[in-house]
Amino acid sequence: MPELRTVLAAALTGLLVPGAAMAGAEPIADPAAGWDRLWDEMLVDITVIGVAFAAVAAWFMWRYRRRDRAEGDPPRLSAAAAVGWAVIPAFAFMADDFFLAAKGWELWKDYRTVPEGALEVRLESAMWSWNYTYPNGAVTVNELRVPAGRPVLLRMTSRDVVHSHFIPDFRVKEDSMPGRITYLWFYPKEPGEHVVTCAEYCGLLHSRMAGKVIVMAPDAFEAWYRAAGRKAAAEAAAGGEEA
Amino acid sequence: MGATLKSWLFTTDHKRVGILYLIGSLAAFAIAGAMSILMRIELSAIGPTLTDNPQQYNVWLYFHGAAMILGFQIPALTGFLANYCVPLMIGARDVAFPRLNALSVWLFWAGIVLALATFVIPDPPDVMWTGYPPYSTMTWGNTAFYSFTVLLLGFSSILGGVNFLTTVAYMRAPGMGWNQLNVFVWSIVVAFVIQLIFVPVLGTAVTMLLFDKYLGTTFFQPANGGDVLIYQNLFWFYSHPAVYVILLPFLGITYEIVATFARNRVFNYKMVIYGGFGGVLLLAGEVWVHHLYTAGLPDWLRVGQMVSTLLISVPVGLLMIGLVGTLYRGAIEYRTPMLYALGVVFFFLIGGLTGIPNAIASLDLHLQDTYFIPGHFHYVMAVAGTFAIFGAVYYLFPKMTGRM
Ligand SMILES: [Cu+2]
Ligand SMILES: [Cu+2]
Repeated sequence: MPELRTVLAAALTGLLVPGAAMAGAEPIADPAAGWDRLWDEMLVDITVIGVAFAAVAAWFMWRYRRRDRAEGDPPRLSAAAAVGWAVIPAFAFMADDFFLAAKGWELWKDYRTVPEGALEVRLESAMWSWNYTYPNGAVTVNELRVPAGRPVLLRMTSRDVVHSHFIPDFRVKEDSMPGRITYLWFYPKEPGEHVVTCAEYCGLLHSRMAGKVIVMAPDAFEAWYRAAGRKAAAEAAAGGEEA
Repeated sequence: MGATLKSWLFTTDHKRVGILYLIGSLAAFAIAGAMSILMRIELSAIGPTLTDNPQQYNVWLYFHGAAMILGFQIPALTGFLANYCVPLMIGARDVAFPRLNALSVWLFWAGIVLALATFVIPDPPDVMWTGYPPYSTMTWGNTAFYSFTVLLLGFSSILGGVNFLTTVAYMRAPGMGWNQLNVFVWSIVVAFVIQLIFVPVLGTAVTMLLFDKYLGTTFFQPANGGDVLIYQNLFWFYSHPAVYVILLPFLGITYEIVATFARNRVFNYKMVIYGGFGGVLLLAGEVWVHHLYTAGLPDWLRVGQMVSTLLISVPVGLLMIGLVGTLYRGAIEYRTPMLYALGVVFFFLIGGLTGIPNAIASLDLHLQDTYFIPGHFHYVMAVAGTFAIFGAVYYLFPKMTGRM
């Protein structure tokens, strides 16, 4: 019961050191950094296995090439050896599988647990645009402006066909589908620009369905955000009067 | 001449049926291969290279994917090789239902003709080989061609499955036990068990697609109570096991070639059959979600199938040990089929190992839908699978033609 344990730990530290419970906000685990780490470990893992296997195969190919009209002289496996040759490698592979699965799951939890205080933006994908709506009503198309240093949560759906919102720099994508709501989050740390692209074929202009994540310094973002919110409110009011 | 043609077209002889499959599948391979060359030329420079019509590119991609898998790999392995080799390997005069066999090869040819017809109709399908709705039900491309091609080839496969399972079960030479069957025969048995279980699921999915697009049903339309993900689940519930329908026979024939030219016995036969093929059969239906890691399914399903997908490495690893072990203390002759077979060993090693990163759900959130995925499965299917089929053609060529 990890939840209970966390609660108890927080409560205890809270009792002993007043104020510590409040500072309990853990550092945010950045999935993109975790992805790069696991990827490196993965490459080592599969390279070692591949080279070992290939070396044995190549050695056999050279060592057992046919000479002087020889016939093969296969080993006679006892029942125990035959079972051993199945069970021992099977356990070795399984051990590696569970090891990798555990690492993958750790990272998965980071990917799917949205940190508190994330900026929540709604996304509706369409042929062929990304339409973002902010909590204050501000609307952007193909441009996701976010403040540096704050996690961003996208809640996604689609107007027409299946699209997939892919931000390669943040090592994350998730499909957006009509009639369903999905989410992804990422952690922009520094101001800068990052490509957004669609990763599910969605029609003739699929390859042009690109956008940008624009990470801004927090105060610059704040100024833009207020202005965009006011503009949206004004437009809504104007629209209301016309109606 | 006319009489010869007639005797070939209406043949019920398993060897001739096999050769008919071979001709059709090599034709599909040639045309689908030409499509891939067109695509690579198109992609060789930014902007229009061969065509400025993006739909043209989609048609190439559709034909390349659908024809390579449904028209080339599956029929070459479970049509040509199964027909040609299985009766000979079990000492049967022919398959159990020779006329049914002729029907399956006709259905296969009908499927090929239907696939080729996409080049002459004004509205060719543009749905890759996957046909995801709602795109496939909205596009002006002719999704019906896709559905009917899949259905024809599916029926052909089901008939083949019934035929070969019966043949192996009842027509083995007297005294030949299950543990004396060739590795290739086993691979065909397991491949057809998988086909019989999973092809109907694919048939259901593409039929629902057909109804949605042309008859006004809304199975996959959320606005009318449908769900877009049902199709993806059904599709991959078949199409992951379909990988094994290709993988097992191509490894099976590779085992035959390696054992023949290493002049050796298959290493640890029972491990290969029960551990390798049996293990794959056991896991085949529990891993389809690895194609849907980014589709918003519940976490327990995505993480659970990450574990089952990783566990595939156990039977596949045993199959690799058996293959490399068959070289041990052999007397290896490097003839053409053997060169192909050894190519299978190394390329499949790369293809298999590059599957492990994709199996990890969290790594796949970045890898999914990138070139890493086509890279991985082309090592397995396009390189290792095709090498195995070519090796088998060289291996059987003297038998088929009476010439060396
Ligand atoms: Cu899109
Ligand atoms: Cu799969």
